[in-house]
Amino acid sequence: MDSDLRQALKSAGSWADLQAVLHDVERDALGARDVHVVHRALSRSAKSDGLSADLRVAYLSNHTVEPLPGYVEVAAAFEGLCLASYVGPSGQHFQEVLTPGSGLESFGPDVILLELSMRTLSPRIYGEFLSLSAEARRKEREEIVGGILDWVMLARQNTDATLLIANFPRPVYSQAGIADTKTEYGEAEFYAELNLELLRGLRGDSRAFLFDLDAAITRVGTLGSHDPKLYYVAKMQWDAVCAPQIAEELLRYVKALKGQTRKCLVLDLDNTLWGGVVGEDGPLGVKVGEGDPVAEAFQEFQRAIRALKEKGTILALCSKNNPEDALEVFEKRPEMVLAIEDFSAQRINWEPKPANIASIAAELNIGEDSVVFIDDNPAECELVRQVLPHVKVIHLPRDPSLYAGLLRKTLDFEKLTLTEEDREKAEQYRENAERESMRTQVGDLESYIEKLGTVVSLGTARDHHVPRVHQLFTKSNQFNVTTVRYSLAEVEGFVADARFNLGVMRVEDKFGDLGIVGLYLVEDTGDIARIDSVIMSCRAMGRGIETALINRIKADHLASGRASALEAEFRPTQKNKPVATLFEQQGFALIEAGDDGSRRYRLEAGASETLECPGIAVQSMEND
Amino acid sequence: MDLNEKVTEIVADIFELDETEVADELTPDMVDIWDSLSQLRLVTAIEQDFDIKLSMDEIESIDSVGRLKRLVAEHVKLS
Repeated sequence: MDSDLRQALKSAGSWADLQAVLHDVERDALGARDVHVVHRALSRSAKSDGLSADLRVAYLSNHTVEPLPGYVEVAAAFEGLCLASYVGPSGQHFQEVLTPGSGLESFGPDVILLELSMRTLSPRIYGEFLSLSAEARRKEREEIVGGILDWVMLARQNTDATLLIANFPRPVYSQAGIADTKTEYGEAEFYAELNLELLRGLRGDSRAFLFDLDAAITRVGTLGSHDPKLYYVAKMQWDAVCAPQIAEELLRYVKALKGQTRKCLVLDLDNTLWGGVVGEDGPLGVKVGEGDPVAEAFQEFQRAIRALKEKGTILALCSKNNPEDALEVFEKRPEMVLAIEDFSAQRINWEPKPANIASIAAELNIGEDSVVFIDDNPAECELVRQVLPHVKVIHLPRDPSLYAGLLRKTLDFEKLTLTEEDREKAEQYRENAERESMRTQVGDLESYIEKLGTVVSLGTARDHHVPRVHQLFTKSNQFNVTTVRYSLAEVEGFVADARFNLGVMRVEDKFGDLGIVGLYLVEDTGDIARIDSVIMSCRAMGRGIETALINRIKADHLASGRASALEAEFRPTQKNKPVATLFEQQGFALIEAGDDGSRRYRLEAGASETLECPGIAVQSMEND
Repeated sequence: MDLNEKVTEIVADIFELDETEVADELTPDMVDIWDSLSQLRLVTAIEQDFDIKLSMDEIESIDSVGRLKRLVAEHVKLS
């Protein structure tokens, strides 16, 4: 970082000033000194703005965890997030979750990272591995895993935080040397099994996640990630080379938890998906496939893109080309990993890219801040950055061998879990395109909805719905009346607490299964039931399904006699216009309109009617 | 940039001082936030920016900015 930037950081007063300076800073290029300068500037500006943290992160460990929290706060600031950090007293992770009034409790964490060093956790394993019998090693492993899973259970009971449990990197050299793998239960086997058991122990837990510290350290190289003297001098495990990698790994969770997962990847074609220019080199001349280094690099990039698609990112094309030329490559080159059908939207024309990207976002019914755009051309990248500032633009480096790694490193597509809906998303968008084409053929909306043959299943959310429900709470922007972002712990609470009626909605039609695409959350508050949230995925909008959902709320709470009235609220955001008059349409009476555009509604049992939803079959959810 | 100036700059950045306040005679007890942890932060920054590695003895011996400058000069001369 040059001295001008450093000076600008020091004089940045507000969070907004600081964000403007960070815009010109390369996060990956920051050294320890720069991180410290940025961190100080962050703390100052957050304080002077009286900013409340977007997410509160607690670190529990058995060694000196510094300088990690500073690195995480700095990395998050580059994503526009303000974090608060708390470091618990070393080695007291049990006391911290068990003791009323502990530092952890008063901090009130949203996320807890438990990161234990084997050196302190089990000095015998760390230092005297060879003097232990195979039996003793196994027993030690069981105790370590048992202890950690016990901690997870207690932390679940006593906090509302999302829990991240670090696994254990293997020592740089095995104590038995190359003979380790020929030893009964050697270190390689010990650490592999320890980490595997932790992974399996946590996989089914909706609120606890294995934090892959081992992978983060491996990216640096185990030898380079640890300066031994820092441990002797300060019991510090991770040095300034390693901390940024661990911080970045943690940031993946932070972004996913804050709903900063982007939904769509828009790609250029020439020198992005393949090497060369199809208009000049011809469909047989562009480079993709095996046998040529450049062609192989492009093929690998396509594999990385396909992996994204398989975990639920929508793909789209935006390229300046004659469409026939471009399509010919997909038809005539079997080496292409991606097929044209993998792209849910395509703009292959000579229009300006910002206009094309905006129209792709409109077609897919997603916001511009859900889009990542990748292009090799710096001018196109700059233009998109200027016209569509909310689109994340990735300018490809000159060397295609770097493309795949760059995409795999991206933080923007991280998801906490892959739900059935994620895996089938591309399929669902293709079905949507078929629906759209039928809509154009049929002409009027009513007969279109009739022909779709929509079946809506509604039912109470259960434990296995928690990840998807949490995803809907964090990611839905448009059809969302209050836009409250609940944590995993809160969602679990709603499922368990009889005072809350959390319902989910599955939608199917003749083109396919849309999956769980809607939810409602109603709180019983004595005689009156309060509608806390009504959410629908944008994929399900536009066919009157919401009426079925609200009918269900009316039936659950009013027709059943559970409450004498329903209350509801609309809180405006920049994106939820589609539901601005939802409650009026559903027969609710406006009782209060705030200056900020918020509105409160009421529906007396006597005035409640079940509204018709033409063309839609409604059923109760069974065994979902 | 002169080696001494660069050390001065880094010390100023880590301890949030004005460069004019960073004299050779500056010692840990004169700076509120100069504790063992921030001393390590300083060492890490110095090591990265000069591409050198200090030993544990050397780190422990840092009792003033002047001493730090001499240590850095020795390492830079050696490498």
